[in-house]
Order: sequence, then structure tokens, then C-alpha cells
Amino acid sequence: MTSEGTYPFALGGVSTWCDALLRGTPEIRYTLLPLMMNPHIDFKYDLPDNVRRMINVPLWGIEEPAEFIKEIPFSKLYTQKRSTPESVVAEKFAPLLSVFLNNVNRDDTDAEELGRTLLGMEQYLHSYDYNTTMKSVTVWNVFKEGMESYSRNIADRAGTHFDQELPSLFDLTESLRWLYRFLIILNAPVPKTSITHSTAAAFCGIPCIIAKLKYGTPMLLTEHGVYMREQNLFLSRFRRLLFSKRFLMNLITAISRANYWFADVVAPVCRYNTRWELAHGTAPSKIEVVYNGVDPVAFSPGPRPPGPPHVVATARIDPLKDIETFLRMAAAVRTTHPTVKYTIFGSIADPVYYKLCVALRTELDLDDIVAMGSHTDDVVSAYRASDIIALTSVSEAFPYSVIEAMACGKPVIASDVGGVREAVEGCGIIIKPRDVEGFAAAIRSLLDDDARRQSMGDCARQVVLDRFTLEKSVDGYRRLYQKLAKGRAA
Amino acid sequence: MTSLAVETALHEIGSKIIAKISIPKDQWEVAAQLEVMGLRDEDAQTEFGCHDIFDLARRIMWMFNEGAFPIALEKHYPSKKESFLSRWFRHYLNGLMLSLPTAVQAATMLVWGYGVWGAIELDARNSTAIALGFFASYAITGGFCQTIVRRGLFYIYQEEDYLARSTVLRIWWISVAIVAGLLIPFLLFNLLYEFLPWDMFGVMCFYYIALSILWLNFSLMYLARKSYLFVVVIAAGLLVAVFAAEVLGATVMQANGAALFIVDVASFFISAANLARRVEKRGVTRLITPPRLTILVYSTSLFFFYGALYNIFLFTDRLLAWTSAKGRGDYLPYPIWVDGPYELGMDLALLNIILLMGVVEHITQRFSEGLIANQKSVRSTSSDEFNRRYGRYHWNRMIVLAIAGIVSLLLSGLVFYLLRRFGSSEVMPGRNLSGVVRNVFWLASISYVFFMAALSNVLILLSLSRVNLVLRVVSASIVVNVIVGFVCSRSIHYSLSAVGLLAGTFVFLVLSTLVTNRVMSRLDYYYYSAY
Repeated sequence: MTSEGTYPFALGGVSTWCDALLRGTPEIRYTLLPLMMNPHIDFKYDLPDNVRRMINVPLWGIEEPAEFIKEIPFSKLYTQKRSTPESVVAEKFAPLLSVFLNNVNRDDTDAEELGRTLLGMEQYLHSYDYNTTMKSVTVWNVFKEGMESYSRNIADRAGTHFDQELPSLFDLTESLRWLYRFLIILNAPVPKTSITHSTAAAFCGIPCIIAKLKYGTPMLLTEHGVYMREQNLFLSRFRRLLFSKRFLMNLITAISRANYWFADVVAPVCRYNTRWELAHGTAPSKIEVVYNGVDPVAFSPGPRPPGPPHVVATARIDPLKDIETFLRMAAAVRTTHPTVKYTIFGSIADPVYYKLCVALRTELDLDDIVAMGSHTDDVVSAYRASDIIALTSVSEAFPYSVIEAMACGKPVIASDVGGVREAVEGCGIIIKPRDVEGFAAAIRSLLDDDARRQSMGDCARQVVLDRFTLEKSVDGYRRLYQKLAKGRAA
Repeated sequence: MTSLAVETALHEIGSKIIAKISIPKDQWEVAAQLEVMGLRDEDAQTEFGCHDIFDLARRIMWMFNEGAFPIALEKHYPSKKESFLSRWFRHYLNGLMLSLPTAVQAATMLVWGYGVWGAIELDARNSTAIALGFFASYAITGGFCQTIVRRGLFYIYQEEDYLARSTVLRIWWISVAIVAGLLIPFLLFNLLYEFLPWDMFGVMCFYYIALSILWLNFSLMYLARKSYLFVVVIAAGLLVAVFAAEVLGATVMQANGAALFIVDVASFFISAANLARRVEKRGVTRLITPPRLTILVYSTSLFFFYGALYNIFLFTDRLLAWTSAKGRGDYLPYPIWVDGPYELGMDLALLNIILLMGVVEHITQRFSEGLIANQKSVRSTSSDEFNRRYGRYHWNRMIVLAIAGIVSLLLSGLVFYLLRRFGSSEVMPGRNLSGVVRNVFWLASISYVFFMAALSNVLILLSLSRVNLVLRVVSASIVVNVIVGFVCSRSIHYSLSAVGLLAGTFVFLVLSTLVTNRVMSRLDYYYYSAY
């Protein structure tokens, strides 16, 4: 199983899912290959016994790409360094890099060719040194030529002048340095396993693609959020370095497409995600949705402690959670229901945004009725102490917070984003994103109708028991594992 | 909806997106933005007459390409406006601060006769022992100091303060253990060959240990990036030495001992407190994945050798001079014997280093500060022009250094003349600033001017991570320094080992200039690969 920036070094939905899947399939032995920001991040999870091997691949914070890949002895690294002259780079690596760049920079990526090029690069690195190669003058020249040719194509297409589209030297430098980081994954030894499971259509899928081409290992791809879409959103925030941004987006798109192409099964966590996957060349026959699930025993209804009406959200403080709409909703409801309290449980992911929300809370005179910015370890008690769960996000995949709340028998009012509708429809209320009045009206209607609230909560619990239990989710992956392994044996 | 209403809605949503993200790369970037604005496929149909969000994104992208939306393109990061004079002053002061500990020590020595180590009126036996301890400490810790600084900064820049602290303290302990461990072979050598009398050997060992710890502590202190701390620590040590000698009547050794104890302890605790403060701020409380020792050693080995050779280079001439009997009555009481006039000539020539340090710092900083801004303003197809521009900059820099060098020689010559004319009998009683002192002063002054110009090249090469090139240059320079110095000091006069220094620094300057010129001619590539 390969991951990127998540399990077992970070908390969050993907990591929760990974942990549950590993623990839920004790009969399966796993090798984990996590891509991590740097090698000095602490484990956030205790690894279960069925994880037999870890191949950590840090991308930053290292001086030698293979520094923390223990499988590669120092003697081999040293020998490789000594045997990577410029002539070898020019003869063996430069052609691969040209093909790679050509595929990254075109709209119709040839995913098959891209995958085979990645395999060629990986094989090259069995004999030669990554650092020496990537920092060679040959690689710089090839990259420069490749990027200038790309600029020429853009200019031809857009009818602009060639000069306008050219990268600055700084753009080039930054772009190639980024490429250096992302291709570090090619140094990781690709283990021979029965199947590979990539947890994102991202760079962590590269070892799975290589295993498929090298050993014929079937590949399963799970997408929680759509990686390409999330990275587009992230990079959109940078209004400068336009060329570098464009290159990175091209790179991410090409790698995502290669993931979709080589995966034998693409298993998104909700139907909604398939829109992006299909749009980027995934064959519909490959797609099998496996929903996330929760443990209905751990997340179960319980007595609600006495207190005023309470609306809860479990969401980190992040613009994508649209906390502003939540606050405006609270202000709107207060005009008719002044005794209602609100709590947003979740860590502060974006301190700047948090400040903005705190200021808005004060501006709306909500300081005494809305609490936010605190994380809770006892999320079940938080749900039980609530009357309604509200989720105002503008972007989601298939959020655990929704099905956890439903499992606790609480009515959910949520924005119609991602796969939320697939969980809530029929047993909760779906509102158009950013529709403050819609949210406020829904809250009022449930606060005023105890019986409806109760029946909606009961219904939500039943939906979870029928469709979104942890057991069902794990069984879904077990079935896919067996199918892929069987297919290989056959 | 009417087509006009649809067009208006399309224009409105498109303008919003372009205002937010500037130039979109393609429809996928636009689609992602539409989704986080809360729009769904059904909204794309009802409000914009499109099939779905992707179709809407394509429409907006098409409109953008047709020039339907104004774009406010932000320029690259605005650079801070600072006048040339203010920048020059800031850089010069920074450089001066680095050479200030040497200046303070020299000034105190001249005025009160005491330093943190050594004193004007020390007898030749003790001076020899102290000098040997100094050289040994400088040569042996040079590599470790470089390693501590390079690796420490590497982690600090990545905000890995816990790792920085644990790694540099680990290297510090290993270095101290090696420094202490080397006393055993020293002892055996002295036992077998009776190199020095045991009292001198004891003095040498004391200074060797105390000064080694000081250099290592200074490298830890460098990580705090507060150069005034060096001056503070040295000044505190000097105060202790002067107080002990002048007020308490302590001997030179006792005064030095007290001063070194204070500077060693103070520098260590200041450094440890700085590192601890950084760790506390970061909130990391344990070492997650220590780097592999083999890789740590390998990745820092070139810096280690560079540090060691650099320090050896600076003191080779003294060792050669003091081990030669030529011109000293053809007799040395011990295999090495300090010569006061030679040392005085060398010390006075240090004025050139003090004067030029600020210039070198300014030039290096300007190179680093200007490089990124220039890279941003040059299109990739103009890389040849960019490289040529830096080639010209390189030679202009050398001209500036040559002028600064001449000014420095004139100023230091003036100071030497004034000391000789008015100050020598009072400030340095018994010192005659002529003959060997004068010759060595001039040879060393010219050498130090060459050296500082070469150092400017070296700092630029190091800022581009070219330690391998620097190492080659330093190695060749040492060879010349040793050969020329050896021949001159043995065949003509001991003091002419300074000619070795002159030849060595000249080669250092020529080679480093040529190598830097080569790097400048492909600066686009060298800058890319400097990570």
C-alpha cells in the first residue's frame, strides 16, 4: 500500500481509512510505502502486526535521495555515484527525460508511454546515481530545451508571441528542482507483492505502476479526494511564478492520468469522484465505488446530556469547510432561536482563515453562542451532546464526519458537495453550498420538530447500518484484493 | 434563462475566477474553482445553460482565451528598496563584526599586553608551547567546525531544530572526544622523540584543549546567526584576563587560564541555550529518524576537508618559519621555536583582513541577493546573455577587490608607519618594527589582500554548493605554500617562509578566480544545481 502525506504520519480521513483497512484485514500482509514531506515526522498511528515492512520515501529534508531508504546500502550509493559520468546521463537518461517531459507537457498524455518511461528511469537508477544525474548539465539542458519547446507550442496555439510564453530562468530552476523532489520516488525499491494499492492517483502511485510493468502486479487505486483537483486548488493560490505553476499542474495531471491508466480497478470512496476520473481517461468498466464505513458499535446513539439546543460541526478551520457560512447561519437562526448554542470541533488548519472567522464571529455578535477552534478526542460524546449536525463545506469527498454523526443517530444538514448526497439523501437535509438562508431554515425546521429530528436520526443510523459500516467497507476492499489476486494467478 | 442572462452570468462567474487565480492553466483548474465556489452540475445547467461543471469550465476557458476577462497579473515578489549606501554599510558592519573578535584581541594585547590566549611579554618557551597548542587546535578542529556549521544550518533552514541540535551536539561530542583522544599519540610521540620538555608539552596540551573547545563552541554559536555574540564572549574573556593579571596579580598562564575557562563555558552555554530555545519554539521533543551515519559522514566530508585545509593553509608559513634555523643563528633549542618578530609582522598584517572583511561580505551578499531577482527577469532563451552579464560582474568584482586591496595596503602601511614612528617604544616596548617585522608585515599584507580576494571567490563558490571545486583550489594552494615556503625558509632566511604564503595566496587567488569565471560562464546551470 502506498500513501502520500497521510498514513501513518498524519491524522485525517485518509489515514483513518488506511488504519481501519489494515486492522480490518489481519489475514493480509502489507508492505507500506509512504511518501512523506521529510524523514523526521513522528508516527501518528501504531502499526498493526500485519504490516511487515515499511519503505519510507521522504521528499524533502534529505541530502541524498536514498538516505532514508535502508534497503540501499551506502556502498551501493557510493559505487553508483562514481559510475555516473555525464556521458552516461546523456546516453541513457536524457532520452528518457525527453519522452517524459513531452508527455507531461501535452494535453493528451500517452499514459502508457509515460508509465514505461518511468519504468526506464527506475531501471536506470539501479545502476546510476539519482543526485548526480538530476544535477547534471545534460539534464539541465534537456529540461531547458523541453520547456522552451513547450512554450513555443503554447504560443502557437494561443497566437501569442513566443517570448511571452517563455519561462524565466528562475521558473526553470524552480520547476526542475520540484521535478527532482517528486521523482525521488523512483529510488524506492519496488517490492514484489500480490497486488499494489495506491491511496491516491498521485506520485505514490508510481511504484504501483512500475510493479505492474515490471512484475505484472495488479494495481488497485483508491481516491478519497480527487488528487488532481485538490492540487489544482492548492496551486491556484499562487498567483506568481506562472510558468512553474503550469509545469507542476501538467506534471500532476500526467501522473494522475498514468495512475488511472495502469490501475486495474479504480475504487473511489464515492460516486461523485468518478466524474473527474472518467474525464481523465479512466475506463468506466474499471470503476468500483467502495464507500467509507464506520464502526456502528463505537459510533452509536447515547443519552444526550441536558442543556440548551446544540448544533455541532466537526470540521477543521479551513476555507474549504466554509466556516463563514456556518457563522452566518448561526446569526440568522439566532433571530428566531436565541438560546441555541453552536460548537465547531476541529483543529485550526489555516491560522489566517481562523482569524478571519474569529473576527466574523465577533462582528456577528456570536462570541457567547459559538465555540470553535478546539479539537476533541471524544468525537462520539460531541455528537451525543448535540441535536443537529451541520456541515457547510464547499468541498468534500465522502466525509467521515457525516457518517459518524449518522451512526450516532443524529440528523445531518449538509451542503451538497462531493459524495455527501450519496450518504445523506433520504435521511438528512441537503442544502446548496453557501446558501445561508437554506441552512438556517433547515436548522429552524428541525429545532421546532422534535419528532422529525428523532425520526431523521433513526433513519440515518439505519442507513449507516445498511450501507456504511466499517465491515462492509473492509469487505469491499477484501473482495477487490481477492479478485485482483485471483486474476493474476489465472 | 435568456441567452443574455446566461452570458451575463457566465461573464460574472468567469471574472470572479480570473480575479481569484489570475491566468488559469486550463479548464481543469477552472472546474476545480467552480466546484469550491459551491457550484454543482445542476447549477451549471440551470444557471449557465451548460451540460455540467466541466462544460461550464470549458466555456469560461474559451472566453478567457478570447480576452473576455481583464487580468491583473502580479509581478514577481517586490524587492525591498534599500539604498546602495545603506546596504553597503549593513554588509560592511556584518563583515566587520566577524573580524572584530580578532581586532579586539589584538587591541587588548597592544594596550594591556594580554589576550584571551597569549601575552606580549611571554617568554619564548611558553610562546612556543602556546603557539603549538593554537595551531594544533586550529588544524584539528577546522574540519569539525565546518561540519557543525554546514549540517546545523542545513537542518535549521528546514526548521528541523531538534534534529539540528541533536546532530551538531553529537558532532561536537565526537570532535571533543577526538581532540582529547589525540593527546595519546601526542604523548607517545613526545615520549619517544622528546620533542618538547614536559612543562612546555603540558602548556601546549592545555591551550590545545581549551582553544579546540572554543573553536567548536564558536561554530555552535554561529548557528545563532548573531555575530555580535562572538565579540561579547571574547570581550568578556579579555576583561577576565586583564582583571586577573592587573588587579589580582595573576601570572600570564593563570590569566589566560581564567579567560579561556570563561569564554569556553560562556560560548557553550550561549550556544546550547540558543539551540534549546529553537527546539522549544518548534515543540518537537524527540529525534524521529536520525540520519544514517555513513551518509552524514559522506555528505559532510568535503566540508570537513575544506575546513581542515583552509585552517592549515593559514598557518603553514608560521610552522615553516619556526622550524627553520636559517637566519636564527643556525640553532633552535627545540624542533620548533617561536620567533617574536615574525609573529608580530604577521599579526600587524591582520589589519588587512579586518579592513577587507566587510568588503568581501558586501560583495558576497550582493551576489546572493541579486541572483534570484536577476534570474526572474531573464527569459530562458537569454541564458547566454545572463551568463555573460555575470562573467562581466565577476571581473568587475575583482577590480573592486583590487582597488579595496590597494587602499587596505596603504592604510595598514600607514598604521605600521605610525606605530613604528611613534608607538613602538610605548605600546610595544622592546619591539623594533624593522627588519624581519617589516619584511614579514609587507609580505603577509600582500598575501592577505590576495587571500581576501580569493576568499570572496570561495564564498561565492560555496554559496553555489561547489565545495568540491574549492577543495581542489585550496589543496593546490597549500602545496605551493609548503614547497615555496620550505625552500625559501631553508635556503635563504627563515622569515621568507612568508614568501610561501605569498605564493600560496597568489595561486589561491588565480585558481579561484579562474574557477569562478568558469562557474559564471554557466551560472544558469550552476545555480540550478546548487541544492
